[in-house]
Parts: sequence; C-alpha cells; structure tokens
Amino acid sequence: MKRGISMQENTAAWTDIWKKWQGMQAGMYTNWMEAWFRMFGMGGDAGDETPAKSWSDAQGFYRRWLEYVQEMMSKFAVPSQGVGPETFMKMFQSADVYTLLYSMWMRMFESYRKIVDDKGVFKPEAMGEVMDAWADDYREIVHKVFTPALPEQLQWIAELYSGDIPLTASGLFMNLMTPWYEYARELGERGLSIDKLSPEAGVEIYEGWRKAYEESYGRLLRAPVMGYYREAAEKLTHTMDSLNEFNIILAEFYASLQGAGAESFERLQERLAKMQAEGKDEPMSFRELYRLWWQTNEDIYIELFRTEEFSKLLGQLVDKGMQFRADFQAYVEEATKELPFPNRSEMDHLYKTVDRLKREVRSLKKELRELRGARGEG
Amino acid sequence: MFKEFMDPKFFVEELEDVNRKLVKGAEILTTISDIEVEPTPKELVFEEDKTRLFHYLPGEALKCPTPILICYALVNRQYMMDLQSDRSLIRNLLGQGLDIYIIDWGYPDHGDRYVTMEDYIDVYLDDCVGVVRERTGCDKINLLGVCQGGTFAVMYAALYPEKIRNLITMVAPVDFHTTDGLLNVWSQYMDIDNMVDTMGIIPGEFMNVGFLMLKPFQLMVDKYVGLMDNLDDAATVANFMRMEKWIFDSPAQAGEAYRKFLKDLYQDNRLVKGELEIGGRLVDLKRISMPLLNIYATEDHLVPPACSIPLNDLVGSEDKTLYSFPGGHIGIYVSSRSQKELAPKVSGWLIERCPKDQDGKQVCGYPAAGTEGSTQAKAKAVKKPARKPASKAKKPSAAKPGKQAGAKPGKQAAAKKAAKKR
Repeated sequence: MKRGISMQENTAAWTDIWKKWQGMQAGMYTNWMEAWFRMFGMGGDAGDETPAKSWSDAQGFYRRWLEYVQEMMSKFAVPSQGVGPETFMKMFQSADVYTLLYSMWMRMFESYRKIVDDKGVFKPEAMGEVMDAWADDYREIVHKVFTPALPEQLQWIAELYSGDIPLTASGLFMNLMTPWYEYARELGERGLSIDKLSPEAGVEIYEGWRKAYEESYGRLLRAPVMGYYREAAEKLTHTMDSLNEFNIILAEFYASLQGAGAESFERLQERLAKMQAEGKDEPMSFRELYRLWWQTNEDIYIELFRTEEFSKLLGQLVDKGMQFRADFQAYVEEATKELPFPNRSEMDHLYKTVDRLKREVRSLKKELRELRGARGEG
Repeated sequence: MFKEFMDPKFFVEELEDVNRKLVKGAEILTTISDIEVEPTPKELVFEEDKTRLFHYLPGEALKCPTPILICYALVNRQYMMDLQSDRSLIRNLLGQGLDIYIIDWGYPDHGDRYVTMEDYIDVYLDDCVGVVRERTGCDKINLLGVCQGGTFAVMYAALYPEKIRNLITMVAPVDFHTTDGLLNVWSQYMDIDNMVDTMGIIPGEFMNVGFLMLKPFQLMVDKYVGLMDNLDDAATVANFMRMEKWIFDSPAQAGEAYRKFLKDLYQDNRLVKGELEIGGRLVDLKRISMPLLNIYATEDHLVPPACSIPLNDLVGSEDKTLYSFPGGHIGIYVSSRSQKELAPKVSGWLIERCPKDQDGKQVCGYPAAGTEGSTQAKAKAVKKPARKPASKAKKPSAAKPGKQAGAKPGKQAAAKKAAKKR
C-alpha cells in the first residue's frame, strides 16, 4: 500500500525545491548572458564570431539553453509518483530528436555549399564525402535517439538502420543525383539555357537529359519489383519509363521543328530583302506577306522532312509512342483484370479464333463448290 | 512597307470585307445541317464481311456494256470519286456511257486486325469481280484501281488476267523506292511490326497525322485561311465542308494487310522486283497482258509520278498508255479540269477497246456458248464463273461467294426508281 505524504514532508520538499530553483535561476541567467555575449561578439570567448556567423551559433546557443533547462528540470523533482526526473528526461529526449535532426539537415545544407565551387561547378568527389558524412550522422542519430526509445527486444531494428544501410542509401542517392549534377554542370559550361533555347542547343539539352535519365531514374524504373502487387507495379514502372523515353524523343522532335521555324523566319527575311534589292519593294498587302510566310515555311519544313535525320527521328518517335502504348495497355489490363469486362488481349484472342473459323468455313465452302462442280450439280 | 499602312482606304476596305465575310460565314456555317456526299444513285449488290459492292444505276445508253469495277484504296473513302454532283468522276463516266460498279471496303475495326492483303485480293476483290461477271455475263470486266486500290488492281490483274479485259490505274503506286514522296522516305524508318503488334489496326487518325505532315502549312493553315476569302459564299463553304468530311472520314487499316503492304511494298519494293507473294503465288507483272491505261498526276505529293510511271515498263501488255494529268492527288477527281478532260479520256479509251461481235456490234465480253441477244439476256444465261487461279480452266459454279443482293439486272430499274424518289 502506498504511503501518504505528510504536510511536514511536503513543506520540506517544497523548501528544497525553492532553494534549488533559486540557485539554478542564478546559474541559468549567468549562462544565458554568456551565450548572448558570445553570439553578439561582446566578449567572453566569442573570438571572431559575428552575429552573421550563421545558423551554427544559434544552434549552439539553443542547444546550450536546452541542456540548461534540461538540467534544471531534472532537479525540479516533484515528489509525486509518475512525475519526476524520468518524465522530464523523456520530454527532453524528444526535444533532442528535433535538435539532432535539425543539426543533421543543416549540416547537410551547409556541406552542399562545399560541393559546388565558386564558379558553380559541381564536384562529385566532394559530394561523395558529404554523403558519407551524412550517412555517419544518420547512423549516430539512429543509435542515440531511436535505439533507446525502442523496447529492448526490438532494438536490433534500429541497429539494422544504423549499419550499412545509410551508406548504401547515400551511395544510391549519389548514383541518382550525380548524373543530374553533371548534366547541370554541362549546361552551365556551355551556357545553355532552357528559356533561350536554340534548336541545336535544344537537341544537346535533350541528349544530356536522356543521358542523365538513362544513368539514374531510368535504372530505378527498370529495376525488378517485388511483393504482392509486383506484376501491376512492374508494369506501371515500365509504363512510366517508356513515357519518359517517349517524351525525350518528343522533345527532340519539337526541337527539330522549332529549328525549322527559326530558319524559315530567316529565309523570309532574306526573301523580303531580295525583293527590295531587286526593286520589288512596292507596298505589299498583309495577304501577300502571309502567302510569302506560309510558302516559305512550307519549303523549309519539307526540306527538313526529307532529311534522313528527321526521318529517323520520326521513326523513333513512333516506336517510343508504340512502346508506351503497349506498356500502358499491359498495365491497364493487369490493373483491371478482375473487372467484369474483357480486355483487349482477351478480345484479340477471340478475334483470332473467329478469323481462323472464318477461313475454315471459306475453305470448306470452296471444297464443297468444287465437289459439286465435279459431280455436275448446281 | 505594307499596303495597309500606306493606304488607309485600302486598309478600311480590307477590314470591312473581312468583317462582312465573317458575319455572313457565321450565318452559313450555323445553318448548314448536313453535308451530303455521294449523290449519284447506286444500289448495293453484294456484301461480304465489311466489303460492299455497289452498282451505279446506268445512264441513258451504254456505249460499252463491259462493266467497269472501281477498286478504291483502303485509305479514305471511295466517295471522293462522287463527292458532289458537279464534281463527280463517277457521274461523268456514267454520262459517257459506262456501266460502273464500285467497292466500299468499309470501316475495319479491331475484329479485322487479322484480315490480310490476301483476303483483300483473293477473297473480297475476287468475289466482287465474280459478282460483276455473274450479273453482267461478262467473262472479262474492266478494272479501275485508284491509289492503293490501283496497286491492288495491278496485283489482281497479274494473278487473274483471264478475268480482266482492260486495266486502268489512277495515281497508283507500284515502284515504292523513290525519294520523291515523303511517305516513301519515312516508311523506310518505321518499325511496322511494332506498330501493328501494338495497335492491332492502324487508326485513321494516326494515318491522317502523317498525311497532314506532308504539307503542313498548306493543309493545316492556309486551307482554312483560304476559306475566309469565300466564307460568304454558301456553295463554296459547302464544297469545302464536303472535302473536309472526306479528308477526315478515314477508316482504320486492317493490321495484317497494313503490315504486308508497308513491309513488302514500301520497304522492300517487292512488286517491281517480282518478289511479291500473295497467297503463296508470285505476282508476276509480265502476266498483265491486257490493255493498260496508267494515269498519274504531275503534282501528286502522296503518290509521286515516279511511283506510278514505271508500271508501263513492267507489264507484259502491248497496248499500254501513260496519261499525265496536270494536278494533284485529289484534284484528279474533283478539279474542273478532271471533269472536262479525265472522264472523256477514260471513257474514250475504254469504248475504243470494247469488244465487238462479228457484225461490229459491241458486246459484253465473250458470249457464253448457246446464248444470244442482249447483254442482260446473256447475264441471265451465263453461270457465275468459279474463282480459280489463272492457270486453271474456268469452271461454272452456282455457289455464291458471299451475300449477293439484287443479283438480277432486272432489279436495277426498280432501284433506280427508288433512288430517284430519294
């Protein structure tokens, strides 16, 4: 049976708490003031730190403040069961999760700046170091924060995620991201910009895009899928992949058309200049200009369409479009196979059967006709 | 400098003209309820699967009783030849005294994905030829093939020369290996198997994208801008809408037939190489020994002259004519020049070659033994010829190749009367 707390004991406890509180208040304000001094470079060991020294100062200050409050509250022990130092400890452990995560991501952000030099050029080796450091941080956080929070029997789970997994994940992330950083760097080096896209540059850009895609997400989408919904999921990822492939070619296709458009504008100007040079600079109507415009365009586009390059591109466009259509159909059929209507593949099977039967009937009729003819009937 | 800026009066007049046309055009476009095509009366005489055979009700007097069967392309619809009464090659040919049948291939759907080129040549076309022969009593009929239908007609004439008296091809591709036409160029880079395996049938809309790309600004921009100039003229707008209807009334292509046509002809050019097989038989163009009239259009962007002209050098015919029509692929049917020149050319060429009997009278084909009198009387007496390869002797047969409607020529008069009522 629990023992009750007497009035005398209670008063003594509160007196003790009050004394501790007073002492801690003094300590707290001392630390507080020191922290502010350091932050604003007003003395102490602030050194050359300035307020603009970034988040790390504020982070340090917040952390020190948290440690202080944590210490204070741990001593603020109300002698009631269930509310005591352990309760405050858990609360502050939770708060610590946020600070640790915050620290980790901020360090990542900070280190991101290291992987791009002053000229904005991406340095893959620096990126690798950053990702490894992130993996170390991640493992530490899992070890420090999540492991203690789990029941003892399940702590192996946290251990699992604090082992090689972060390293593998960072490696995967590197594999996915590096081609895109490389792509961005190439664009930057060549001074290519999407918003000022010349046709040739457009083709280069899309080629680069395709390369980056092939080396990153393309691999991911083509990876085998596992699990209960494997078939549909795999078909869906294939569909997404083939749609991307189609869009890449479509972009190239449009770039080539755009190139012809730009060329036709130049050709139109040349024709107008020539007309002027030949003394045919009499005023023309909008209608005449329009005619000259569309005929010039037609000429240029037909020239483009006749080229082997364009013909190949058109062939590829159709091929990729077909691949997407086939993949999409396969996915739709997989996803809807339990619905009460036949799908295209099932109907095709039926059509094939009907076609075979028709041919058999036709052949039999022909045989019958010939037999009757031979017997002089009909 | 633009005239509009230099001459305010001109500018205002142009503006007023455009506004007036727009208002009037809006009124016309909102009152057109139906765009009628195929005005010439005809009757359905045979159908098999989606293929239908029509007989145009004859004109006043037949100058050549040997019937002519028109084999149109699978692409687009055969009513291009009878778009409207004042722009109708069919009506013109009827007026010249010809007896005309025409094949309507219908609209293939997914159920037709396994229909092959052999089915079109050896079954549907051959059955239609059989019906015409049976109805008219002619052992040999005249065959007129248009565009892709012309290629079919050439193949058919090579496989069944004993059934064809005269062969006429209009803008028909035979030699596909030319770089004059964009379709010929592009097709070399297409994975046809991938297309057919994926789509089953090739949608008309898909084909139309390709056709529009052949003249992108003319067909997608200028055509409609040009309409603006005549938007206040109801007749012109109606003509335009009829053509527009025809252009986008595009049947799908049966997958297997499309596969063979594109791969064997466009890509491998097997017809002119003598390597094309239909139903296991080699299509030998030298077996085409009947008179040939090969018509091409000088400005044809779909079937450039280089695709059509070589036919005359490939056939075995001694009587062969190459006719050059100044115009495009469509103009050859609907232009006023076509109405004035082409129809008389075709009918004149055919009438010249119409068979005559010992008394110099024109007869229909070779009279069947023991029959006398008029063409119609012969038609009743002659049994339907059996469908046999050219190498075998013909045998009479009573079996009908498909569902034959109104097989008796006597029914034609009733149908004509009914058509007049419509």
